[in-house]
Amino acid sequence: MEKLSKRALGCMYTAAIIAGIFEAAAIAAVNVIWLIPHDVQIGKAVSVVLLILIVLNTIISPYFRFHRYRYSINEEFIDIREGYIFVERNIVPLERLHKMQTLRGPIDRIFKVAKVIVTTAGGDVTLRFLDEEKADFIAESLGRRINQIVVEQREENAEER
Amino acid sequence: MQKNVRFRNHISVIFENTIRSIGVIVFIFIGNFITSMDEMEDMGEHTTYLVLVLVGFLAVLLIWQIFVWAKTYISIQENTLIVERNTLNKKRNTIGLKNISNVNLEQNLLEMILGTCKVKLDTNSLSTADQTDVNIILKKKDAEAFRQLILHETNPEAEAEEQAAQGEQRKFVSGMDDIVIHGLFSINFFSLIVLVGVVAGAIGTFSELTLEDVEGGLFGMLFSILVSIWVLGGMLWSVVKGFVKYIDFKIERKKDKISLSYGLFKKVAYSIPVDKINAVRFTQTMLARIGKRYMVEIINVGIDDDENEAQFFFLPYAKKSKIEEQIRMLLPEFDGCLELGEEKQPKSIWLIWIPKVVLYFAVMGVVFGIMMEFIPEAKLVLLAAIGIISVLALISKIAAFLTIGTAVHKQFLEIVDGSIGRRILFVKYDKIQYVTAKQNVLAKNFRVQKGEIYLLAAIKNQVHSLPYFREEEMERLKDSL
Repeated sequence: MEKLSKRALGCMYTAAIIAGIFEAAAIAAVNVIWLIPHDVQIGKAVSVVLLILIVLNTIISPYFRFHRYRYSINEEFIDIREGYIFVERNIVPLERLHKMQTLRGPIDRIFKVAKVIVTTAGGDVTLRFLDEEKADFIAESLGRRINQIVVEQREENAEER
Repeated sequence: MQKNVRFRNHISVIFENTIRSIGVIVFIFIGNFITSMDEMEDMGEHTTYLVLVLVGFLAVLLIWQIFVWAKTYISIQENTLIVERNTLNKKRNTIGLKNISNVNLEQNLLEMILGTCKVKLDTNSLSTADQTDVNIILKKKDAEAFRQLILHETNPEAEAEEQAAQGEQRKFVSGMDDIVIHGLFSINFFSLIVLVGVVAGAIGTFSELTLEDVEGGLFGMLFSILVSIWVLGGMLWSVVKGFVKYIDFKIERKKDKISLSYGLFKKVAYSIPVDKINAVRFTQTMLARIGKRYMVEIINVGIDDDENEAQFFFLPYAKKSKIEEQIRMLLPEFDGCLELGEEKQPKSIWLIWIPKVVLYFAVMGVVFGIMMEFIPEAKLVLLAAIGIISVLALISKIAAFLTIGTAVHKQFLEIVDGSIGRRILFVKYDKIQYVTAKQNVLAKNFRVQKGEIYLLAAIKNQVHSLPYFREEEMERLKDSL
């Protein structure tokens, strides 16, 4: 199974830091508006614990997510493993693919990475943090494979008739 | 009925849609109206204005429905079904006939009286499902002709196939005994206990109630009684519907299609292509498990989009041998699946559940601590309540452990779910769109995982949970997809 490039790690850290800033800002707002003026001791203690957890999460989670992320694409399946505390594995048979899409968000563009979203009749699965060139190559080769599968299925149907 | 001819819905659609809109409005306002009755009596001439506003509103509603009816046309042109609505917004839905998998007819009580029928279209794709969200109501004869025309256009050989299949008798018609047995085993034991409790409670409360006790006086009391009857009626219906819903149940296999019809107050007639059936589900309530009876439902795209038909019915409760015989006759594609048997969850999941148990007792401890602050005198009652809830949760968990399981069979994936009741799902591998497996640190340590499978089906049946299973089984499942 393939790993992600170092660019992905930078993207993961940046996304985690931005999310951490937003979460910390929300906690700060609650403290300024309510907990500090009303001197709610337990609230302030919980805020400190949450802030420590946010900082730890921002430092640790991208590292583990990066090292846990694996994917493979062969003639039959897309297989993706990702996660931090809970590891998730998605297996998509290529025969079920209906369409695919490449997507680059603002942070993705800074680090020259992209997402490939594959759509089946049952829902979407996303390959994240791929190098742009790799994402384009995957999208193109999957597109070719989907067309090939459609042609094969038509031929099979014609033979059955 | 002919191609290239534009026609309108039956005029009764105006009446039906108006009544439905009024029903919603009445439901929203009736509570406020009755509780404010005393204040309204003081309002004097304002009441007349209010009544005038209401009458005016109803008139506008009726005129709007007439306008919508007059400006909505349906037609079949070339290979498409076109539904045009030229009201304030011009809307034109074009549905390729090749995408229509089923054409179903439905009749509610009002439509039975008027001799009309609702035509419901199912498409092969979830993305076009909203396009079929159009009310097509026609005279029963026209609805049948419309259905035949679409079926002929979607599959010109269908009539010949149907005639060829006429010789085969692959049909099941339920008798009164089947319906009574089905009703009996459909009863949810806990609903029955709750119903009895609520009825007893309501009788006790009303017998001691006086007019002065109720806010809003006589009207308020009447309203309270009506609401109680409505709530009790709903609960009672959930118990007795198993007895009446499937009256006149007929199911027939014609070549590659299943035709079925049933209903007393709401008659439905479905036609389902067999290749669109994604999965078959065998269900047992607690009573059915004791009595060793099964009922069968099928899952396919489109058919259960209507929330009233969220459980798509296939065969009523019957003994295993009878169900297997009927499956062999009507749906041989799933023949023998009940005999296969599943593998229970690995015993190691009890250890994986330890963090959840710790969290549960932590939450209970916090709840107990908070309650003791406010009602310290109820210490024993609180401890008893927490004890009873914990014992019930433990029994439920043990029952679930003894029930739940999975199996990767040659032709099907089997998923068994439930605790007191049981649901056994059989899915054909080529109908699984993708699979997700999940593991936490403990599960990884014990080499087990749980997950989900995704199907092409209505939202309620799109995702099916896989209980904990061994890691190696995931590789077998992957190879079977």
